[in-house]
Amino acid sequence: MKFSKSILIFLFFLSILGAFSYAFYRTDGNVYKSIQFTLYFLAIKIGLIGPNVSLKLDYHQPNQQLVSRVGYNPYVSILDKDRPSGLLMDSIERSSLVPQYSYSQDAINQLRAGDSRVREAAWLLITIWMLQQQSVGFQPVRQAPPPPHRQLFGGTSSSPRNNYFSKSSQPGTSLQVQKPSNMPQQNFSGLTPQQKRDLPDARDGFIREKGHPHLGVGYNQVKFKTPDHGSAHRLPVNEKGRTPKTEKNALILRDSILNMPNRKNIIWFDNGMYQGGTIRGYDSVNLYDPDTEVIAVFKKRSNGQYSRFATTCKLTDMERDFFLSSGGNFVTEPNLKDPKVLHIIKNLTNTEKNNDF
Amino acid sequence: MTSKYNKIRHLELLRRFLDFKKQDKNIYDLYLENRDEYLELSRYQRMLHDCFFWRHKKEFVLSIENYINDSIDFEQFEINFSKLWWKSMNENKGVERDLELVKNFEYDPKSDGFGSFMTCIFRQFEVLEDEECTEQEVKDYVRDTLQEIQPYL
Repeated sequence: MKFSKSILIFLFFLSILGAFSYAFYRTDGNVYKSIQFTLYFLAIKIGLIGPNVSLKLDYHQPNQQLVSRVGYNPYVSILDKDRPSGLLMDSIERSSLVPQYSYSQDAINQLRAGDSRVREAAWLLITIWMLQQQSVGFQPVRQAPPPPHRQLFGGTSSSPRNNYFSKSSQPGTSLQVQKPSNMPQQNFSGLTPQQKRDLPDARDGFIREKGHPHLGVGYNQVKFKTPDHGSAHRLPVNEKGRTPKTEKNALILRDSILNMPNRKNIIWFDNGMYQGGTIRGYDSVNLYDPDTEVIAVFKKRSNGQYSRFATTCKLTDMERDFFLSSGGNFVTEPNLKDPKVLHIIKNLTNTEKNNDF
Repeated sequence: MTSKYNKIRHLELLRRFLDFKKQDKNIYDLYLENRDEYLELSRYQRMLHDCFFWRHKKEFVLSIENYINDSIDFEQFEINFSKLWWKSMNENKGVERDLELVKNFEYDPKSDGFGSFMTCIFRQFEVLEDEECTEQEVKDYVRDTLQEIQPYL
């Protein structure tokens, strides 16, 4: 008995320590929050606070497993409503999809009866499991696997819904770029804002069109561009003339960009440029919709990886004229009006000179 | 850009383009099939574009002056100016493909190039958004633009 008590005490302190270190890690080193989390954890353990889980132990289904469905789920859609924002964990709930590995009826009865050792052991197991999953109250950020050809995150049906994302998201979540769980804080802090926006996110989308470069539509970059560029994709604007920077709007914009290859008259410029010939210039893949004059720019990467979404906007007549004449170099009007810059740009892109820029 | 506006020619080009569209073709197809005609039509569209911006010139200039004189901060300026820009763009959009509206349209030669100046300011917002310039640089650009458009006013 002494031995088992020692183990329990050891596990108890181990779990407290684990809770603190977990919280410390997940809050990026915030000691105050970590202590808060640990105290809360401790309060649950000693029974001061009743855990929600007990409510879920419905005696009508005694053999089912407590499962926390972790929210890494790339099947995110704007089509579904009312999903708790931010947390991708769907909350602790019963699932019949985990057939074995369940508590015995006996153990559950003991839990109900308040057997402290069994309860302690159960909580330890839950704690260890949660630590493994890293999913309590925080959103894990993991890279979504590339989807199959043009099936945006894996839909297989021909319905628009399934060809997009089958899980929902909701506006109002934190709009900060989140640090990936496997990235040290120091490395994350050292990134530029653009590099942070380029970090993978479960809500990223991909375009894989046969015969064209593969494109990535990074959620964080889309979100960043939403206020000033949402209106080019018919998103609503507020009294300030901007599209509110909500997750919902960012996802709508993302989906609109992802859907651009399906537009009737879409034109691909696989070897295009963005501001080519200027200090801001780079090689890009550009999608152009002649019906709406909207383009989407995807910055090419030297390592052969998919080109990454950079921006989208509505072209002016002057920009469109140059864009088409140059074979897909999107240069904005200020540069086109600058004779020195224009001269360099024209030489770079061999634009024919009998137009009146 | 030439400031000569020929409404008869504009209408002729627009009519042909609308017929072209009925064949399920678009502006890019016109560019590919008849580049000169495309550029000529585009030039007239730019003139329309200038006029619609010109109609709001007082509001544009007031917004610019308020910003230059520090009566409003950058954020407020961006909001005011962007709303005006989109308003002008959307008004233009309704007209440029409508024969009747173009027929009744009165071109004002004073407006030549005005819309482009305003677009240049609008585009600076994205340069700033991408952290490739500072607010002060945008302000300097706006100030320079105000000087450039003085002959128009």
